[in-house]
Amino acid sequence: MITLTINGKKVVVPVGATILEAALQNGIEIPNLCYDKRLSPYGACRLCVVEVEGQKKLLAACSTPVTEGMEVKTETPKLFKARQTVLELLLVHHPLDCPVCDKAGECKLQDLAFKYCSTKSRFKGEKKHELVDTGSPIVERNSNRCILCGKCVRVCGELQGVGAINLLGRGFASKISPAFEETLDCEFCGQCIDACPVGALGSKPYKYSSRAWFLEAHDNICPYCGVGCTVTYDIRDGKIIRAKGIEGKGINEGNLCVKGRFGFDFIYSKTRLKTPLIKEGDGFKSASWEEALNHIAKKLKAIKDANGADAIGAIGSPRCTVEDNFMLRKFMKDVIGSDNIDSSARFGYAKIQRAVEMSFGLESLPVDFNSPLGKEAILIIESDITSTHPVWGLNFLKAQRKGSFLITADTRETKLTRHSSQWLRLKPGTGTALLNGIIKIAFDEGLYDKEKASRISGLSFLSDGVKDYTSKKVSDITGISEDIFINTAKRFLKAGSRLISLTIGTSEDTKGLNTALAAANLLLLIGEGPASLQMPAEYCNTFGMWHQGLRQGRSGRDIISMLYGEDTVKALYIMGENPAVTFPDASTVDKALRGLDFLVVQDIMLTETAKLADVVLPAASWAEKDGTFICAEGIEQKVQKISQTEGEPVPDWQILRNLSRAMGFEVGAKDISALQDEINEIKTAERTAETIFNPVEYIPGEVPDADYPLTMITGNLMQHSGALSVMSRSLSHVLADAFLQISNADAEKYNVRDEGFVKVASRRGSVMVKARISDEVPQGSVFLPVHFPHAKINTLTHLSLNGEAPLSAVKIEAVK
Amino acid sequence: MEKFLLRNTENPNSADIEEYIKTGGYKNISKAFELQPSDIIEEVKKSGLRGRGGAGFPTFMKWSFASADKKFPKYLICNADEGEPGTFKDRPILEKNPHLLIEGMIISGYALKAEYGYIYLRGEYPYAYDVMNQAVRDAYDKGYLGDNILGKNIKFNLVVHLGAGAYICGEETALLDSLEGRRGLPRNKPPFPVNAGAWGMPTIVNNVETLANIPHIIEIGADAYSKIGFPDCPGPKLYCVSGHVEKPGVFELPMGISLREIIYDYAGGTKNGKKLKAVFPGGISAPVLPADSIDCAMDFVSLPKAGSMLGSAAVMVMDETVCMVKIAHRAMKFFERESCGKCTPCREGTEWLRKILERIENGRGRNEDISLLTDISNNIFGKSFCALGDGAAGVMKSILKHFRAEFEEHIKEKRCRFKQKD
Amino acid sequence: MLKEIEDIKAKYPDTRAALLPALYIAQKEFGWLSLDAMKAVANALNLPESDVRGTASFYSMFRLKPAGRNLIQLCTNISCMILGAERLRDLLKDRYGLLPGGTTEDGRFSLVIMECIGACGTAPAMLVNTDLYENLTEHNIAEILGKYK
Repeated sequence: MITLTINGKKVVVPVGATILEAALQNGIEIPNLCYDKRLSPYGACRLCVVEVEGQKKLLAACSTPVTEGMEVKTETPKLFKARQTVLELLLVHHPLDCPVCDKAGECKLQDLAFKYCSTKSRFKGEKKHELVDTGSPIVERNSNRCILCGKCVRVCGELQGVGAINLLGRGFASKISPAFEETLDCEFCGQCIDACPVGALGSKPYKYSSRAWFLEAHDNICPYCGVGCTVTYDIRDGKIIRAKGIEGKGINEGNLCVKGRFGFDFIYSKTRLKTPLIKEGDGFKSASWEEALNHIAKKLKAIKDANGADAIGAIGSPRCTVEDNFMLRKFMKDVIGSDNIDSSARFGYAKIQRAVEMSFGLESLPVDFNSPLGKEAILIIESDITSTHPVWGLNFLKAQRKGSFLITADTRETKLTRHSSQWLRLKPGTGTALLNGIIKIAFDEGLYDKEKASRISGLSFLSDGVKDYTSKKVSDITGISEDIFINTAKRFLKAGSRLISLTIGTSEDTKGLNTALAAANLLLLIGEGPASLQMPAEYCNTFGMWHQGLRQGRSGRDIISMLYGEDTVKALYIMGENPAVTFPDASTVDKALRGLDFLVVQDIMLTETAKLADVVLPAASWAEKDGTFICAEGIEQKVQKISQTEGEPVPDWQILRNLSRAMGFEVGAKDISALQDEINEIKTAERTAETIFNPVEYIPGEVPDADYPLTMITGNLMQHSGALSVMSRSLSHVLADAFLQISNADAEKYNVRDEGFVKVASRRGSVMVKARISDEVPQGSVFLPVHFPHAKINTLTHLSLNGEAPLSAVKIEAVK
Repeated sequence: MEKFLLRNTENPNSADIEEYIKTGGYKNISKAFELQPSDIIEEVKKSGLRGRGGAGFPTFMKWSFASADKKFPKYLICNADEGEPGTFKDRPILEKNPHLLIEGMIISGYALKAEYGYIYLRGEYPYAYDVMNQAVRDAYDKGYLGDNILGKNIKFNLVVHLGAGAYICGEETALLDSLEGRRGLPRNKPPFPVNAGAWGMPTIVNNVETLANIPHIIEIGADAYSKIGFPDCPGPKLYCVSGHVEKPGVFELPMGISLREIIYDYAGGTKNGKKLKAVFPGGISAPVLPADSIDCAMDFVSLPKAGSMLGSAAVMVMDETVCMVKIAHRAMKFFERESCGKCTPCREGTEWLRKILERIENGRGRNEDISLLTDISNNIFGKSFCALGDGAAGVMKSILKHFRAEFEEHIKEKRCRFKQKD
Repeated sequence: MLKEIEDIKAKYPDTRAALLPALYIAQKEFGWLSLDAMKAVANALNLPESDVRGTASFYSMFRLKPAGRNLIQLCTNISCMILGAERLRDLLKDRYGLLPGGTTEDGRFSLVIMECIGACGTAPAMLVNTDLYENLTEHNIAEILGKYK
């Protein structure tokens, strides 16, 4: 620690802190325009200059490290004058169009000018008159207001790893722009908007919607992925009109992705359900809550009486709160008497959980978003973490920047592969073979922790299990050259600290249970613990839902048995899920749903699944209720009602409580806190099973053949991850429909034009989508995002039941 | 004085490697290789050598900081971005004595345990680029460069890297950014290049002339070297003289010779015997000295006392026909154009200085302009990110100080009397 | 061109460092740094296009618009200026219609005003393409330019 004096006050700060950090940590404000905690010091604006005893020059506080005994003054007449001149110079060319600038009222330049400047300017200069870039879907750039602090450029390049904009030109003529002064086209994370101290970068959906001083800010948890970012929502008249990250706040420390920042508006969609609906002929009629609940109660009772409780099943939702899912489970157990409960996690997170239990004997993995930092080698298996968990993905980029050797095994070119120290472009779904191959090298070269590994049962089975995975064979399976494979494997094995990360999401088809097991085998062999395997839960409350028990009960049926088996259930209660679109093998699901005697769907919109329902109940969205999300790290975070509701939606847990009452059961939960108390009383016992090696084979998914020659890869996009994002107007402005990504070589082979329509068929069905030609996918593979309801990509997919990746083989045909 | 830096340069074939070897070239490598690297650093310390790039920082200090850092590889960068207007002292070394520089770099690389060297050469020197590249190729062929120099298992690889026209890249950290393929913006210090320079590794950046002095120190020994010229910063020095003199050129003279001697004894005095008005003693960034201040010694210690600095020892001589407002305007145009644009005072301040000077020069000056020029200069000086802003402000202040009356006259008369009538 | 860029990469510990050399190569190949030239460089070095353009536009010797067949780089900094460089600049305008930053109508010459080309001792001076001409006068400049078609 270092002791120094700031304005006569003694402060103690860590070694390596800058003067500005020391001041901020001790509540001393030093004006600045180009400083950002997340970025390396820049020192450009020269507003944070301070006087240091014994130094002739003024020093920039943001980039001067503290030294023992330093005496710093942050407010002196000399500093006032220096800052005044800097501001005066900045204002010469600034348009001063504050009356029509969204930033007014929260503009740093405005605030500093107010503090330091006189009303008279000694310079009269021409204002800049660049064209405002209004062309991009959600970010607007007005470079006339730009003061060249460079924060947006650094946030975009250094932090986000994108580099969509840069400083062009030199000196006074510098400006910030995309490469060729074209309209901004990027991933639209909007981080630059939050970073901009003035009104040069703005949110288009927010434009002209309010003056800053009318806004009321409320923190809440983001409803999208498992990272669990804290988002600050600005509310006006009961409506969220803007979302922003606040420097240093939350797990995300103020970072947000495009979905978190712009995707909240799905709750104001015109298609929100306002009242309960009861099926009538081919359509629905509006009903009162009382009528709808009584109708459901009567029907469920009748089915239970006729077919037994086991004929009724329920599907919960990783996007609903812990309380909602708890109440659904309670309803099924206590009111219906059935253990048939499951969720979409069956296709994704369940595989991770299974692997964790089998390998480590643990209830859950110690997922830690800071885990990549400081690791010597990181291996990512077929996962685009910058899309599935975007803000977490930033830490992988940061680790690489700070010196970690980042190995990304992926078929597709992604942001991670672009920033990797080594990109292994393997064939889709062959990660298991790759991992087995590395295990074999570890055995052959003695590059494993003999002492630790010998204490784990199954070591000899593992060494037997991988003996066929010679480098030659791995190279044949994965398509990675033998040399590169061996060198990379050794680099990973020899590193001092290692980490493997992969995601298994509902919509991802390149990994299966075996992939996760193989990764666990490798890490256990080289002496690493469960913390070095980072497999995060998918959605905002996947972790909470799963660990609170919303999954197939001991005597119950899982989703596969309920929907895909010969003998499906008779009645299904679905909360916040859209199986018709998001579950694999959509035709089978569709048939099962249509075959039901009775289907209840409670959701915020009339989804494709809801359209098939007998009763549809309008639920409150995450911002319209109180509750709890548990993020992938296992941290409980409260969500709050911050937005007013139009119509009569009710929180999911309340609907279920009311329904229980309608069925004649008193289930307690008089209010949310009573419910939370009840949940807290239930303690899940930590399982303490053994650590075991589970040797696995690489099992190919559907192998392409002459009829279906291409491998289809499905997955997330940065802008879309499922049911919510496709309802967002802002996100749809960026991307509104599914597409087929195809390589130049295949496009030529199959006569596919960019933006032309293509029919894609698998053995299970076919869909029609637009093509996008890009060599981000290699020849032989195509990529399709599954989330869009119109495209119904899941018509093509299928289940995997043997631990393999559920890849599908497809054929394509250009539509004339 | 016997020439060392420019030895044999009157010979038209001086750049030829055979010619260089014939006149004793490359023999200092063998001599150096017999010493321990730390001994060479000690010799350089004893020699008193100071960096010839402009700041006059003791060379051994950079060297010992970099040596003390345990990270490898280390990089040795030759700053051949001779961009300071008025400066052309490194050019004769680069064009006529390239092997002296290479020899200096090999010895320095050995002393610093740096196995990779880069010569960052300004883009405006296409001829020097060809000469240097040829010289490097020849040195490789002769075994002076490579992985096993002179069979001694000593490694030094050298690449000539061409800049592309940016004055700021003469600043060592901006040079590193540029070498790494970025916009040449100066970096924050700390970390200093000696600890985290090129590609994050310990890096020594030395000027061409500095490195060209190294073989001489090895050749004659630190003791003899330290007796050349001014004791506080000894050694031979290249002075380049241009402007209104009879015989402009580069002169190798002992450090500390007076400005008057340089102008009158070596450069032949003012052109056509006109009256001397002012001198930039060390390039455009060194404050201007009026005619009555030329008796000062030209070294890193004496010039600051006289209100200027040695900089790149680029003496630009101006006679009585020159308008100092115009000089200030041209200088500011230069700084405005070459400001990298990173920090506010320099980016915006140089633009305003230039604009105000422009209106004064064109007879549209206002009474408050002089105080405005002073105020902006004071608020750039010591407040900008790097020395470029200081240079601009320092020059502005010096011209105002010594030639204030000329500014007042322009404003009052609403014209420039030096302008030729068309 | 791509081959040449590949060779350059080997000289540096990091591919980005090959950016300036690669831009020179592309400029030679395309005559100037057109959009296509810069995109090709971005691709060859796996850098964002904004990095390539941002860097290229920082340096005055990279040409971001088409240039004439011969590039005149005339120094007008102090030593050249006080020895008559401005008269030469005016002469180029009067005789060839050549303005700083501009190109003659016949595409024969482009003119760029330079900040010191290190020929102060032989001022005024200019570079025509990569050839240096010193001690220029209003008389010899015409003769020199006559050599360039």
